[in-house]
Amino acid sequence: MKKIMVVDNEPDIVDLTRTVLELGGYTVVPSYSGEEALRRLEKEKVDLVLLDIMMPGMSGWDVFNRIKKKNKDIKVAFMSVLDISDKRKQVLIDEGLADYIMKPFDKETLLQRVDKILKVQ
Amino acid sequence: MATEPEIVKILREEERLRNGQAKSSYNIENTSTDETVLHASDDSTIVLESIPGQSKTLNSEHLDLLYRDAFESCLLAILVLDTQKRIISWNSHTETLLNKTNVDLYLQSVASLHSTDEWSRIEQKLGNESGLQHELETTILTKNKGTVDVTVSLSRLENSDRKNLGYLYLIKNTSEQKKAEQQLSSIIQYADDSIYLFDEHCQYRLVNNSLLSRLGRPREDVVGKRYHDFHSPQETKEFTKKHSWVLEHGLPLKDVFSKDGNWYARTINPVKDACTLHTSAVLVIEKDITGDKIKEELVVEKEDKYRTMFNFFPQVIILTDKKGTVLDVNERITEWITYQTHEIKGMNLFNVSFLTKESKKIIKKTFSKIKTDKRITSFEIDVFAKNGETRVGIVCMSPLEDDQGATFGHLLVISDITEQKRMDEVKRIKDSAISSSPGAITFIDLEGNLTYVNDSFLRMWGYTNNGEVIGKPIQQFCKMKEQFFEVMDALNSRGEWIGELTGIRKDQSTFQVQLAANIIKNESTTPICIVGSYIDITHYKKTIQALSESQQRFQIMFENSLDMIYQFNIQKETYDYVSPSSVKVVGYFPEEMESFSLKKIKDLIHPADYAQWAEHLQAITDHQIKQNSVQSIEYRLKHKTRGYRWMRDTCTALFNQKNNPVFVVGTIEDVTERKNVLEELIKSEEKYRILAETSADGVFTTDALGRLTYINPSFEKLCGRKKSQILATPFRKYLLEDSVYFFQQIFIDVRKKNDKIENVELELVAGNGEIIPIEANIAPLTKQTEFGGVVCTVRDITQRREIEDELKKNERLKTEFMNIAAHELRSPVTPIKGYLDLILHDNESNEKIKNWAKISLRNAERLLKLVNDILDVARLDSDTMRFDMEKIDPVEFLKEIVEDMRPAITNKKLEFPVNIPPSLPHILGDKNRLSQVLKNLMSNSLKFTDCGSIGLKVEKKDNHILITVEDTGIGISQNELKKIFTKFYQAYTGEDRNNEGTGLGLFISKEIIKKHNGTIWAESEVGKGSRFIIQLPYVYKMIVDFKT
Repeated sequence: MKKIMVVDNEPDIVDLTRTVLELGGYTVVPSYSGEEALRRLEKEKVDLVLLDIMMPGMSGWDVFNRIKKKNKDIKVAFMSVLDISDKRKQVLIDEGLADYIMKPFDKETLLQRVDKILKVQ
Repeated sequence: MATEPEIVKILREEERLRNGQAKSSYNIENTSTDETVLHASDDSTIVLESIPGQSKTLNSEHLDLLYRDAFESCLLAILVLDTQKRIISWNSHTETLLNKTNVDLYLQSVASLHSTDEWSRIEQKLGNESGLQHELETTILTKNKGTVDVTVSLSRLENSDRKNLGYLYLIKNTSEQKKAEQQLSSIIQYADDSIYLFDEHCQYRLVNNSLLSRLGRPREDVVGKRYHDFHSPQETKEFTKKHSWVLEHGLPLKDVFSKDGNWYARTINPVKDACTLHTSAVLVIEKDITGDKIKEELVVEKEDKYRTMFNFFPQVIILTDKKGTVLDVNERITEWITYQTHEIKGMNLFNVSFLTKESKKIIKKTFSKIKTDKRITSFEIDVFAKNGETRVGIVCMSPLEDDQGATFGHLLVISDITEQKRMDEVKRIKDSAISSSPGAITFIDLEGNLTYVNDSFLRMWGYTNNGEVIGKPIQQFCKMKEQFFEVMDALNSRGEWIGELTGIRKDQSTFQVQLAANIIKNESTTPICIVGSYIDITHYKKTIQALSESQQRFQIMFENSLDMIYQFNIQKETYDYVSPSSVKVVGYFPEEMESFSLKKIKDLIHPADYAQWAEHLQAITDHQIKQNSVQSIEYRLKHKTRGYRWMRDTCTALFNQKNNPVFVVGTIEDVTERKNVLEELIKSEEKYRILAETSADGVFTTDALGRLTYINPSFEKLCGRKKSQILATPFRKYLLEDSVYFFQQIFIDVRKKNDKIENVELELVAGNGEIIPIEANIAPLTKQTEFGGVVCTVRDITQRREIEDELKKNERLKTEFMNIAAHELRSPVTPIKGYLDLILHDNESNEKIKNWAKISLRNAERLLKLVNDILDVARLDSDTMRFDMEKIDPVEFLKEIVEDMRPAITNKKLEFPVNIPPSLPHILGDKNRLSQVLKNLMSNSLKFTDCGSIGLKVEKKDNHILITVEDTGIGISQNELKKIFTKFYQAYTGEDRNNEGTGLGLFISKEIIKKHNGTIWAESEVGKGSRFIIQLPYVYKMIVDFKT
């Protein structure tokens, strides 16, 4: 079973995402801040990190950069309410981002995108 | 030969010692003969026995023979004397030496061999010093009374009882040796070098003639004297030192010294005692080397001479080695190219900066040419002097060769031909000026024959080539038979002649020419040739004629002139003449005018102008002030019918021979209209001037080149510089570097468009260095339809800038705020929507719950859309919306949108006609935003269209592409059409329709399109449908390429 870490400072969103992903048959490792995510990643091996951008403390950008610096093979996808242009998305993907998922999302979309990322592997 | 055995034995022994190797002296007197013999025989025996293989011992008989042989073959004369010194035995050499035989010798006294004097000397000497080691130089008499130089020695022969047995007398011929000694001595004596011998005490022992002649003393004065007797204490001190050194070390010493203007090379040689090897004397040899010295000096002098020549050589000389490194260069280089010699020395010619690339190339080429072919032609080089001038030199180069003919360097002699080149150039220009001069020019020799003509001469005279005219007399070309001498006379006396002549062309036709002839003299004022220049004055002549014709016409013009022309008689105080135009100008007929008295005339002048008029009249008639000068004055004159009119009176006074004014002549014209216009103009100009002077904004004008021609006080203040400092200087001088180029562009644009440009923001650098942001309005100034500069008003916008900066800061904060707002507003929707979605799809939910969730979800979506729209509006309002502009291919882009929208449209069973041409020019835009607009338009259409179609059409028109979204929906009334693009406008959609819109979509669309430099509008007819058209500019390919 594939393991996915969900990072968001809002517990409701973490829970929702977890519920949806578990329905899709994934194991979820919840994490409520950037710092916590990095700490847990030290010990735990996951297949994908779903990362919120705007978080108090360490932002999603920082976490992304740290993860990529340490191990660029870990798949990371942003999950944000911020709408960014395709051009910027492409830049991020070139830097190793797996996907950019807009919030709010519906069940189908999220599962499709996550399946797609992990199937590529 | 009679012999006595004992003596023979002794003799043999003697011989053995003489020839033998015994080193110690053998004292015959102290040793017994027997012992000697015994010793000798023992020795011999031992020697012989020691030879291997020779076992037999020599007996005494053999020895006897051996000695006898030695005795006979000895090269000494050996004589054996008895006790009375009579000769009793001798060897054969004796006979040879004395040239005497048995008869002459046997029992003769040995004394007979010598002269009596010599013998007594011998007896005396050898009587005391007996023994073979004591030799005495003497002479013997030969048979034919000659003498031979010999040395003799005498030895007593004794037996063991010391009884005298006789004597042994040895004679050695030394004549040869003596002769050689004498020769040597005379060589020394007469040698050119001074040779002398000093003993340990610095006393002269031996001196030769050369030294004597140098000292100027006879031998006896010198020998035995000391060095200091003939030399100064200083010399003595020096010499003594050297003398002692040689004595002490036993080694020779060499030095050079000068005395009495001569130079000497001296060697001081130690003379060693043969036995002790102790240096007991010194031999000094002095060689006069004055001649060599002079030669040497000559060489130095010669070198100096060459050096001086090198330095004062009128041309630049450079010596280089084979590779071009400068070994030496003379000081001419400094005069030539202002480099110091030390700056050039040691440099490589191919690295120096003063030679041009071409020059280096040619030098290099010549260098290699020298290697193969020693003939080198001189060549020209261009050089840059240190002071920046360019100079031209001509280089003569030759290889420097050593004795073997191998090249070890190069000599470059460079002559400066810059002046010459310049002169050549000037000459060339002069030559071409002469040859291309439009006036004809000839050189004529003193006989009057042409030596040179220019092209104009040929043309003027109708010839085609030089050959036809050169060498021909000038008379052939000009009619000057009588005049010729007049011209020549004038030339001889004055050196020049100017006058008119008649030219004769090749075809014998004639024309008028003016000739200016000058005689050219050389430096010694001898005439060389005559230069003639000719101008064709046929035309001029015609003009003169025309002029006289025009004079007549002038008269007519005079009569018909619009201005009144008059002649006023000062004596009579009336007009002598008034032209007919007086009627037009003043309303009076000439006859009337001519009848006016001065009083009447004065009455016509406006009282206010009278004083000025009178003054003017006074001025022009006062010959001492301004004679013959034409003066203008404007005053009002009462017209016969039209009242006072402004008149311009231009007049001058005419004087008689006594310098009294007689007439005033002049013209009067009516300038009232012009004056009015001018006054208006002055008034308005004054108005504007005051306006400018008092304006709070800076105002200035420039000329066509941008130089300030006027500045008002405000600008003066703003600029922080005095008016006098900045007038006539270019305005751009006071702008910050970044602004200069911008201003220049604006300046050019204003000029080109001949229209003003407003709100140009520039940065001015004030006198105190402060940078002041200014806003300028720039308008062209036209001067008689030509661009004459600009007028510019500037305003200090420092405060505005500050506010703007503040605003920008606010903007940044706003953007940040908007991002946070977006996040905060959207975040809660995520779980709401997410869970509703889960409920809807959960198997455990019943239909009722699902329905509620559905409604909740729809509203959550609406809320989300509202949030998004409000955020967009807020961003647009605060101008913080981010646009990521990129090159977009509309075909591809629109096809994507079509595919995205197709399901929704077909779901509603609507037709979807799409018309996209296969290729369109690219547009520049933000894909997401444009997509947002189009989807918004299509969603609107979808919302209001229940049957029919929704179509998408794209076309190229002019510089734009037009995207049309057309539907067959309910349509929009004309009244509503005006409002649909405003914020929160919601169309009335009928009662049965859910109003789900936010009323912001079209407003956002319009704003987004605006940001793309495009426009959006709508056309509609109620009940038939609507059409939304977006017009976007496409980018020119070139610009696109540039951007990418």
